[in-house]
Parts: sequence; structure tokens; C-alpha cells
Amino acid sequence: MARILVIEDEAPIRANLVRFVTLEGHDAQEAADGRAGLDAALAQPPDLIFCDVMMPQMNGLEVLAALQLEVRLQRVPFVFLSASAEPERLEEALRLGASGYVTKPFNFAQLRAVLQQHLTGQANPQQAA
Amino acid sequence: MAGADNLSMLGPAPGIPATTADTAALVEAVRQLQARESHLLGLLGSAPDSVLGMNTEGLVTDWNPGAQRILGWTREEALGRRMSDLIIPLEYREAHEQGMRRYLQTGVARVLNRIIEIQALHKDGHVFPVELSIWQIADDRGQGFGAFVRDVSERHRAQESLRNSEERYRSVVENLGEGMLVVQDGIVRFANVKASEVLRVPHERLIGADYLQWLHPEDREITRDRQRRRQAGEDVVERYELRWLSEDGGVRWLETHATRVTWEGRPATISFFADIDERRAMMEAMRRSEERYRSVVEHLGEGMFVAHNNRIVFANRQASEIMRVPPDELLGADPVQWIHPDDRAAVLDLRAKLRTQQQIQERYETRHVGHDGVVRWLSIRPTPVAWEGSMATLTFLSEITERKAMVEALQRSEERYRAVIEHVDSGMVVLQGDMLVYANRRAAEITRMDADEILKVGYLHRIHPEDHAIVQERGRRRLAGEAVPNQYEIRLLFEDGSVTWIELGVSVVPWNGQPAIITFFTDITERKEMTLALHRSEERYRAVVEHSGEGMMVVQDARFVFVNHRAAELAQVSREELMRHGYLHRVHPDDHAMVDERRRRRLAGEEVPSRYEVRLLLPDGAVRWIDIGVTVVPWDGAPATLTFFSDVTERKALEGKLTETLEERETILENTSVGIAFLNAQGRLRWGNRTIYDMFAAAQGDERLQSIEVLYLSRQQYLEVGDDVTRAITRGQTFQTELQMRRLDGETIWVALSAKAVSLRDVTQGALCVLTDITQRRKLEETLQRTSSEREAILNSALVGIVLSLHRRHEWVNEKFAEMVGYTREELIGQSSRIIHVDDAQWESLGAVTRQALEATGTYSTERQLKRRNGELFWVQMAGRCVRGNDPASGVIWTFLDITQRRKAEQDTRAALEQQKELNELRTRFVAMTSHEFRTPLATILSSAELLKYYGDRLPETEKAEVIKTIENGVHRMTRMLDRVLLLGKAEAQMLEFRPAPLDLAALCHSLVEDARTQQPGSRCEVVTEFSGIPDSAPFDEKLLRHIFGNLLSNAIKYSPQGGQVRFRIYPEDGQWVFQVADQGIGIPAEEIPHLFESFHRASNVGDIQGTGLGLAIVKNSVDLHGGQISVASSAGQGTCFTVRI
Repeated sequence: MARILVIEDEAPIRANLVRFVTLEGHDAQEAADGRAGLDAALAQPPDLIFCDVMMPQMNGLEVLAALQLEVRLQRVPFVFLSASAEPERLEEALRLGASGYVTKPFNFAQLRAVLQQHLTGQANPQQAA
Repeated sequence: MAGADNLSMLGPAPGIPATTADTAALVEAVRQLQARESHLLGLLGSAPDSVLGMNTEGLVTDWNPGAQRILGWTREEALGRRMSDLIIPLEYREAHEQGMRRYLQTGVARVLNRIIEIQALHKDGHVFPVELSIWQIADDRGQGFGAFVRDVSERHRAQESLRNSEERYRSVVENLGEGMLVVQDGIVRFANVKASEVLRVPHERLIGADYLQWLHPEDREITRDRQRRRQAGEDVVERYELRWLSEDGGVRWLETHATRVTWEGRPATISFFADIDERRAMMEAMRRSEERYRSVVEHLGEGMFVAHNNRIVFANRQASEIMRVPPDELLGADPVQWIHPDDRAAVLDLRAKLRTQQQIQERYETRHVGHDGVVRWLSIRPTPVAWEGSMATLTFLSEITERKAMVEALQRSEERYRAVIEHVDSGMVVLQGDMLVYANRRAAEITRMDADEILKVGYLHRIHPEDHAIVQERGRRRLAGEAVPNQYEIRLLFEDGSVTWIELGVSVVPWNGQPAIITFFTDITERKEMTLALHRSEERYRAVVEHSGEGMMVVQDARFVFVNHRAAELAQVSREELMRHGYLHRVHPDDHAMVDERRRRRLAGEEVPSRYEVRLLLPDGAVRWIDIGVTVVPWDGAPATLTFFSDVTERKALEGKLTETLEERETILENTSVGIAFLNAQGRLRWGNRTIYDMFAAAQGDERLQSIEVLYLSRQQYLEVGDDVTRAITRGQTFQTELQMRRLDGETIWVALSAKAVSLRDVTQGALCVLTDITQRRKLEETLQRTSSEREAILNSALVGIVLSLHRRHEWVNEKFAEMVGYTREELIGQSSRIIHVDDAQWESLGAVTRQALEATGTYSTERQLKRRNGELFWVQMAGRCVRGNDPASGVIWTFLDITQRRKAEQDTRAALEQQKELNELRTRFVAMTSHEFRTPLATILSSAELLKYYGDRLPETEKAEVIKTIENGVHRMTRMLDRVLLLGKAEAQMLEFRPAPLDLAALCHSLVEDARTQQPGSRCEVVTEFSGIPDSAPFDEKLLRHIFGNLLSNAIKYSPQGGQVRFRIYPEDGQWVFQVADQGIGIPAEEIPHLFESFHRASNVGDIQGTGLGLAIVKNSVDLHGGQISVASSAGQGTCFTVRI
């Protein structure tokens, strides 16, 4: 059972993600904006982070940058959930240290693959759709 | 009458008992009575009026102190005397006595018990008015009368003066020259006699009438209004004029002076008025006269202004037009400011003269610079005049720029012409009447005078005395209208004795519009001297021939055609005999054979020694040795044998002399620069000098020139010129022409030909021709003519404007340029190029740049805006090139190409590109927005659906319902999004409708605030509403208001992530509703405000705050539909305030 942090400002999406993670047998933690997400991650480092890009207070990229400054959090897999149609922005995110990204609308198969890849250590070439 | 008794006069005493039985009561009554009596006595004593008593006998019984004061008598004097004697004036005494008697007898009294006014007599004798009342007294002492007398002279005097004043007032009012009306409550209360007269309304109809009915309809309202305001105590104009409609139908102008007065205790208006029709008519006439004067002044062809102390106090329209200065600017201005700076000093000088000498100035001409900066010539004539009581200067002015330009052009043309005639080699003089009006430089040179001298004294005195006759005769005949040869030669004789031959050419031409005799003269001394030398040489030759010691004979066709005197002498026969028979019979018989043989052989063409000696046997038997030289010569065009014979010694001497002569002649002729040819009568070249051969590219003595026909262009030309020459020389005239001839190398040359008979006496001697090669001159002339006309034609038809400018003035412009800038060529030429430039600054900057470039490279080109005459600006591409090298001072040729169209096309293209770019940006923004805004709800929906699909069996029912709800919410959110996009599409396609209906504005706005709060539950904003003056119901379109304020409020909250206050205010202002939504949020960068209402535009500082960029576009469209305006005040970080006015 892994600890998974869901940072998403859209309440319905966040709720569904928490449900999914829980139903998949993991311990889900949620945060409604970037600042809260960063605080949660710092308080108790999770095993994996799903994070939205466009959020109030602090956006996903800023959260990632802040996490990269913490040695103990640098290795936590960080997966973006993005509604943006700007792939360049996401490619940049990968360069900054994100582990992958999933574009909205996502399906659970994609998320499951992400969980599998990062939590079991098995390589899965299918990172994202 | 005792004092106590008199008390009864004052009325019954109170409470006197009926009996005396009750003493105490009586005593009390008496006491009361006494008290009362003393009280009354005091009253009487101090009463201001007099109280008298009289008995039936008419004697005074009582007299109080008031009576003493009023009537003069003391009580002691009066008591017991007859009342009538004391106080009744003499004239009334009788009536008094009678009245009293009548009363006593009949009881009838006229005066009793009432107040009458009568005259009373004072002790001092003066009579004065009193008020009198008399009552009857009946007491124990019998009957009597009491009287009460009051002095009323004061009152009378007051009444009198009142009456007098009233009379005076009436007589004033009635005799007023003016009409007078008193109007109260709109009704005439009083009108004087004059009013009826002036108004032509009978007095009785005026009184009580509403006078407005007689006013001209146009004056009624204003009069009524004034009346009302005057009565209300406002300050209203008192004097005015109005029109009165007489009952006879005429309109009369009244001058009215109305003031507010109190009339019988209440406010009224008193109006004085006079018929001013007459004055009006006079003023009208004056005005018309003034108008006429003005119209004359205004329509004067000339400008006119009047200046007082050098300030313009009046200027007519033309003055303003001519000076190009607006009329209002002229007034009060010193006109010298518009004078061209170069002329200003002169004008000020003239002005000073005008002031000090007060003399009328001649017209003078000066340059003027008006508002348009163009220099114009004005003709100005100032005159001192009296103007409204003091001295002023009346100045007439007219524009003469055109005339000036014409004069200048004429002068220029004249100068050019002068330059030409000054530099031609011919002298030229013009004679008009007896006056020499013109002489050129060459004429002065030839006559050896200076230019002034020749004009003054003429040149006739220079004419050689021997030629006077011919000049005078020709002049006389010419004036007589006879045909006189136009060309002749005369001599001029100078003081130093030298003589100059001139050839005169005379013709009659117009000169300054009058016929004049123009004389060209050429110094032909050289030619003449040459000809003379030739003649002299010819004469010498003849003399030699005739008188030489050598005999000469010419034999042609076996006939003697010429024999000289000496020959005859030597042969000792007469010349006639010699001609007839020859000399052979005189040849010595021993020499016959030789002579014959030689002759034979010579004629046979054999080579024979040309010289030999023979002997002549003279009749006297003497033998004379003759040296004979024989030669074949052309003689009159045919070969002949010329035989000389002479004594050897003598011949040698003569021979030498002749050779010398011939050489001399030849040297002269050979060395002239003009070609000289002798043609024989048949037109063959007998002799030509070197110049002739050179001229025709022939070697000296070239045989081809024997017939000069080869030198002509055609046979026809040859024949025609030949005929002309023949005709002229047979008349003794000199033939002169300029013609084209052909050189032997085929080239064509122009030749000035002058031909005349060799001998005036014997034309068969042929002609002397003088030829000058004038090809170069002709070519120059032709080229000049051709190039100038060609240049003009070409440049005028050019599609570009062309200007030759010198020192930034147009020396020459083509038609196209004139058309381009909207001036005529005449206006442009000579004018500074400033007039076609936009302003001084541009003109000067261009000048500097141009000069630099031209001096560096000789060329310059630029794109500029120029100004047409009508002020319109247009773009040109202009290119300039110096006429010479890199020297702009040599003149610059400019070409102008109108590129307005090209410029416009460029701008259009740029605008189209800009628009295209905006559209592209819009599309990009749209794609980005849709992507994000649709993906988010789609993610909700898909994840919910998958939850149900994959984990449905493991989810509790409540949670399932929640998940299903999120699907619904997601779908709703997408639907809303789509609706907004569609709404905007509709709005931009102008399909949104405006349907106002009464609604409760406050309730609606409160609900919108509530909605906005609910939509963003996490917001830290406080929303405050301030609604004032909102009615219960007002017509608005609810849907549009929802769009407007729903969006503005939700924006205000959304873009205030740090919270703060959102204020929503509604209040009425200037008949509009003002809605204000203000927040303390992130604000809008100032540079982005212009794009704020564009679709999909989002400010750069929104960060990760979600939004579509559609809200404000919808707001703007909705406000527009509602006929309102929206404005925004904001800056980044300072919050935002939207104001909507509907």
C-alpha cells in the first residue's frame, strides 16, 4: 500500500481520483491547491504525486520546482494531470524533473499504468497517452 | 352763561336723584357733580378746539382757552359781545342773523347738529376755514347755543396743495407728448389723451381692455412675459420697441418705457410710449444708406481699409481677401506687419511723409506676405481722411502680382531680346517719328558714340556729306509711301576724317505698339574698301591697258575683238582700222611668213613659242621692232588670242608694273575671310578666292567649280537663285539671302550670299558674290529652336511633374506638376517652393537635407508629403539632380511622382495583415481556451463513468449517486461553456435581441450577487451593495443584465484571489443608471485595456486563474445592445472598477 498525494483544484476530479486510488488499494491524500499540496508533501513525503497544472495559489510547475529543492522529495514520482493543449509546457515539465504526464480526460487504465510503473519498479514504456 | 351751567351742554349728569329728601344722597350727588364739573372744566380748558356758548340774543356766553387760541379774543373780551361781530366774517353776518332768526321763529335750522365748514374771522382780521358744529342748549336760563369750532386751515392747505398737485399731474399726464398707460393685472387702468391719439383707440375702449390684443402677434409673448416678470419684481429691460396694430390695419412702431409702480395700492406697470414710426423710418433710411455705402465699399473692386493711428479700424471684404488675412485679424492690427520685410522700411518712410506732410500719396507698389505665406504685389494708395471725427488714413489696395509678373516676364523677354540684339553684329536703331527710341550697343560702336549720346543726338550728323542727299531723298520717298530699296550703303564720316561704310537695311515694324522705322546697319567698310580697291585696281588696269606703252590686241574667231590705243599707235593705224583689218599688213614683209606660220600652228593647237619679235613697217617707212607676246585667254567665255606688242624696253617696265598691281589685288582678295567670287554674266566662276574653295572643300582652282551649279542642292534651286541674282543686279541692287549649298564632299552648309554687279554701268561684266559660311550659326539657331520647343512639348507631356528650381524658386515647371499641386504654371513660376510644402519647418528641413545631398552627390531623392493649393496633402516621390555637377546653385531639376495611391495601397495591405494577425491570435486563443475548458469537465465525466464501470460493484449506493451527480455537473458545465460560445457567436453576428420589460432591478441585482458568491464558494471576498434611488420597477432586459453583471461580479470575485471588498453600486445620474462594480483585485495592465473586450482575450497577469476570455466580450455586446456605455478604470495590482451607464 502506497501513499499517493492528489493535488487538484477541481473538486469532482479530485474526488474521483481519491476514489480510484483508494479502490486500487492505496492510501490517498488530497490537496485543493498547489500551496496545500506542497505543505502536505513536505509534512509527510508520499510515494507518488498526481498534480494538476493550472491551480490557484501555486501552479503545478511551481509545486514541482519547490519539491525539487528538497532532497528527500526529489525522487518522489511526480505525474502531471493536464487539461492544457500545450504539449511544449508539459515537455518542459518533464525536463524540470516530472516523471510523466497524463492529459485530461484520462482513463483509469492510464493511471493504473502509472501506478504500476512507479510503485512496483517495473518499467512500463507506456507513460502517457 | 355760568361755567357750571355749561356742563349740561356735555350731556345729562349721572345719577342725580329725583328728590332732595335724601340729603346724604344729595350731598353725595353734589360732590359727584362737582367732581365731574371740575373734570370737565379741565377738559374744556385744555381742549385744542374752541368751545363757545351763545344765547338767543346772539351774545357770547362761553369762551374756552381753545377759542382764545384759535380766534384771538380773550374770554374777558369775548363774553357778552355779539358772536357774529366777533367771529363771523362781514359777508356772512347777514346770513347768520337770518338763519338764527328763522330758527327762533320756526325751529327750522340748517346748520344745527351737523358739522359744517365755514369761514371764521380772527381777532386780527384774517379769515380762515373752520369746522363748526352747533347744538341747541335749553336750560334753566332759557335757550342758547353751543358751538364747537375747529381750525381747519392746515387741512385746507393740505387739500389745496393736493388738489394743485393733482391738477398739475393731470395737466402733465394729459399734455404729455407721450402716450401713457397704466396696466394692472393685464388690464388698462388708465390712459391719457395722448395714448388714444397715438394708439388710435378711443379712450373708453382702452380702459378696462387687454392691451395685448393690439400688439403685433410677434411681440405679444415677449411683452406679456416682461409684464409678468416686472410685476414679480424682476429687473426687466425698461426701454424697448414694439409694434402696435392700429385699428386701421397699419403697423406702428412704439418706443416704450415701462416701469413698475404702485397704483392704488397695488403693483402696476406704467408705460410711456411714443410713435417712433417716423424715427424708425428715418433710421431705416439711414441704415439703408449705410448698407448701400457698405455694399459699395464691400464690393469695390479694390480693397480698402481705414487706419487710425496705424491701427485698422475698418476694412472691407476685399482688403481681407487681397491681403489674405481674416477680417477679425485685420481689425486693430498695424497693416505694416504684412508688408514684405524688404519693403517695410520704404513703407514706413512713406507713412511718415503722409503724416507730416498730410499730402495725398501717389500709388506705390509693395510686396505683401499674407497668411498663406505667398508673396504678392499690391498697389497701394493711402489718403488722409476724416473718419468719425478725427484724422485717419484711408488706403485703397489692389493686387497686382499678376501684372507685376507679366511686367517681369516682359522685362525678361525684353532682356533676352536685348541680349540678342545687343550682341548681334549688326547695329540696330529704331526711329519713331523724329525720335530715335532705341539703339543697340553695336549701333553705338559703329557710330562711335555711347548709348546715351546716340539716343540723344541720333546718327544723322555722322553721315558723310556726300550721302546726305541720298538718305534724305529715300526718307522722303519712304514716307511718301513710294517703294524704296530697303537696303543701301552709305558712308559715315568721323571727326578724325576716317570714313566707315555701312550698309543700311530699313523696314517698318511695330515698336511698343506704334509703327517705327527699324534700321539695321552693318559695318561694311572692309567689304566696301575691298570693292573699291578692286574698282581702283580695275581702273588702274584699264588705264594701264589703254595708256600703256604696249599694244594689245585680242583676236577671237579671226576677228579683232579688242585693240588698245597703244597698239594702234604702235601700228600707226587708227584703232578702227586695226580692228577691221588687223595689223598683219603692217608686218614687215620679211616677217610675214613666220607670223602666218605661227598663227596657223597655234590655232592648230601646236606648241608655239609665245613670244617673238617682229618688225612693223610703218607708213612713214620706218621699221619698228615689236616684241610680241601671244597667249590664248578666255575672253567673254570663249578662247581668244591676246597679243601684246611693245618696244622691248618700254614693255619691260610696263610689264613689271602690271604684275605688281595684279599681285596686290590678289593678295587682298585672297586674304579676306569671306568667300569672294566673280561670276561672269553666264554665272560661271571666273575667279574665286581661297576662302571660296575652302568653303566648298575644293582645292584651289578646282575645275569642278567652273559651273557653280554643283554647289546647289538642286538644279531648280540653282536656277531660282540665279534668276533672283540677275533680277537684283540688273536693277542695281545688292542681292542678299541665306541659303543652303552643298560642298563638293557632299556636306550641306548654310551660306549668307550677297551678290551685286561688278560694274553698275555694265552688268555684263558679271557679278561679285560675297559668301559667308553661316552653317554654325544656323545650326545653333535651329537646334535652339528645336530643342526649346521639343523640350517644352516633351516635358509638358511627361507623366511626372518636372520643375527647374533655382535657389528654391520655380524657374520653370511643367503642366503635370502644376496639375499635381493645383496651381497654374504662371502662379508657380517665380514663386518660392515653400507654397507646395506642408509647413515652414518641413520646407526648411527638406532644404537642408537636399542641399547636403546635392552638394555631395549631385542627386537626391525622397518621399514626401506636399500640399496642394486646396490644402490637401499628398505623397510624392521626388528626385532632384543638379543642372551642373554637384552645384545646387546651378539649378536643380526635380521630378515628382504622385505616390498617394501606392502609399494608400501599402497602408491597406498593412491593415489587412494586421487584421489577419489578430484573427490568427484569436483562433489560437480560442483553441487554447476550448482545450482547457472542455477537457476539465470531460475528465470529470470520464473518470466518473469509469469509476462506475470498473468499481461500480464496490461503491456504496450513496457514493454511486454522488459520482453520477458529478457526471451531470460535468455535462452541465460543458453545456454552459457551449452556451457562452454560442451566445458570443450570436452577439457578434448581431443576432442577440434586446427585449426590455419592467423588472425589479434591486431584486435582480441582489440575486446576481448571490449567484456570484455561490459560484465561488472559496472566495475570501466581501461583496457590498449600495443601491440608491432604484424604483420598484424599471424597463430592462433581464437576460442582458444577467450577462452583464453576472460576468462583472464573478470576474470581480475571481480576480481578487487575496480577497478584499467588491462594491456593487447603482445610482441615477443625468437621466441614466450608473452601475459600478469595483474590486481590490489584481487589476488590468494599462496597455491591455484597449483589448479588454475582445473575445478570448485574457490579460497577461491572470496566471492560473481559469477563464474563457469570453465574459467581457459578452458584457460589452450586452451593454451595446442596451444602448449603454461601459468604461473601465484599472491598473495592475490596483483593483478594477467597471462603470456601466444605461
